[in-house]
Amino acid sequence: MKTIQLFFLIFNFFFIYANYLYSFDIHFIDIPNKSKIKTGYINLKWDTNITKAKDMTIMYELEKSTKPTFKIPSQIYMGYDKGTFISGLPEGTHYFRVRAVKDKTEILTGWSKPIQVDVEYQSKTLTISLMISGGVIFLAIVLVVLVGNHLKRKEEGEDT
Amino acid sequence: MNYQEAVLSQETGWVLMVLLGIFWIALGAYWGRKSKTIDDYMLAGRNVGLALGTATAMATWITSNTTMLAPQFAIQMGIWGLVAYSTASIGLLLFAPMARRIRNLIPKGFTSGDFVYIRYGRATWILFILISIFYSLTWLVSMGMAGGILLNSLTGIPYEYGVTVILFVCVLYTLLGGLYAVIGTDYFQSVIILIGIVIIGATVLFKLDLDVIYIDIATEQPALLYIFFPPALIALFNNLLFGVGEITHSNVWWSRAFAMGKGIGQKAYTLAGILWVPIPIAAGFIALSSGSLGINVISPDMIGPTVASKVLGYYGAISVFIIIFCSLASSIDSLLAATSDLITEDIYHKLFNSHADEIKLKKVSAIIIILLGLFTWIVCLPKIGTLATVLFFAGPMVGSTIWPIITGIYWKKAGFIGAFWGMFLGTTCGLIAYFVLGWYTATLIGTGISMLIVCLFSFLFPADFDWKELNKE
Repeated sequence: MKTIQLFFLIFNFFFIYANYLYSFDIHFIDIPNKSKIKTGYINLKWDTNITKAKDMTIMYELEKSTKPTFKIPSQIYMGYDKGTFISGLPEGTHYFRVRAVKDKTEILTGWSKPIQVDVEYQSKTLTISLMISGGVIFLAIVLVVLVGNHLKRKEEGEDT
Repeated sequence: MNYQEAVLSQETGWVLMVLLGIFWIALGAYWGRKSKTIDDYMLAGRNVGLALGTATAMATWITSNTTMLAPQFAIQMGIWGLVAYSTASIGLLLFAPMARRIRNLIPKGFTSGDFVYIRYGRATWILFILISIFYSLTWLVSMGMAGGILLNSLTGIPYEYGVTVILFVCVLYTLLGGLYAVIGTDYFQSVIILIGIVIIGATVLFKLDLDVIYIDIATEQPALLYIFFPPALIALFNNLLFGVGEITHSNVWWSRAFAMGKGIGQKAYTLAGILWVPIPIAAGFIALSSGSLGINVISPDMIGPTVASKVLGYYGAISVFIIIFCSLASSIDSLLAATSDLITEDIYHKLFNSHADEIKLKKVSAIIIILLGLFTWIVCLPKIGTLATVLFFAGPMVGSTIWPIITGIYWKKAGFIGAFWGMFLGTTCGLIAYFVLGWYTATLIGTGISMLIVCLFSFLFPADFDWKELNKE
């Protein structure tokens, strides 16, 4: 009899805990609609329906992974802010998910629906051509100013 | 959504803001006593010396962008981003020989518009004035917005109040003393900024462990250390040309070239360029340490001040506040004065009242300063976009003016057709690139197109400009 009571007690605990956990929701907001990010940086923001009174002590845990299953996740943020700026992402697909926790231990929500971020930098050809163009334009400007100044100084010197 | 705490209390913020405001207004009124004629009001008597000349050039170029955008570049584009931002000093260095030539060519000139009007005629001048005023207003708005964002982030003072106070203070002292007040306050502001940045940079460097920073970036943000990092490499020349374009065409720099005594301009701009280089590097470097310090970045344009104030604590935050207030004021006052000169001289005097006397022009200039302040305030209040997107929209426009200006200064054969179409098509193509390829290509493409057109017309249909035209009353 005692074993059955204990079983129900444990079952109830998990049932109540699961209900508590999933009564709150967390989700990313203002997700960039670009299919591919060419700069390697992204601003992530999230929001939750947890009531405001409790909100004051809520922390958020953000994880990143290169797999949609989050097999080997890495924690990239744990704190009170509802957003973060991530830069220096290497090329490839990155997945992010977030959840709310209390005092770094008590979990308040399940993981959010993950978002997928595809990073693909500009092509080498475009980069090199723009760099060469920039270099040529800049050198031409320097030449016009320096040569022009030298010649005009000479002319002005001759005039006086 | 920003729940990052302010480092200073609102009370401290208000006390600092009021004290600095009173100091700049009093100083502006004191320096402004010398301002009697229109030459005094617009060009500080055309006899500014080397120390004041260097200080005003440097202080004006240390804008909120130096303290906010340089760290933003570093955190977005890593080491190359840092280099890209510091190339803005090349604009000052290149303008140095041009300042000498400008002063000799057009000794009685007031604005960059005067030069374009005489050199290329009315059509090119109208286009140039449109570009120049648009750029000045964009810069002014970005400064006003920066003021509000920074004061809010450091002290919690509401954005709207921060924008209002900084604009009110700058409008008032520029109004009281014209360019005398601007250059005088710039001198103090540049000294405060230089000392402050050196102290903050050194303290941060001693407090941080470079190995830890390196390991953290290599693990968490590896692309920031790439030698071949496409977005940063593309931005490198784009930013360089943007800086060159800003200085080459803007009346902020031309008015200083006219204001400096004979033989001063070249030295002052060279010195200012050299002194300016370490400032964005120091400001950008501390941004890279945010990860290893566990500082969460929400808004990338706030990373510099946030890291500096958190590393240095309460008194550090006060120093950051003072430096930022100075860098904002030194640019806003210069822009107010130079843009007001441009509108007074180029639009009011040339188009509407060519017989206006000095008293009338001085009065109009003062009214325009007030109107500019009001306009900036109204546009700043809704807080549109980030600083980079606001300012870089003007990139292709200023880039397209580089070639018409430099060839106009040095080449007799540069004519108005090349100048007009260079600016027009350069701006158009650059703006298309802004939307299609991204902001980091816009200035480069705008400048390139303008260069091709100006050179083509100069060689195919050479003009024969008489330099003496520029020296007439």
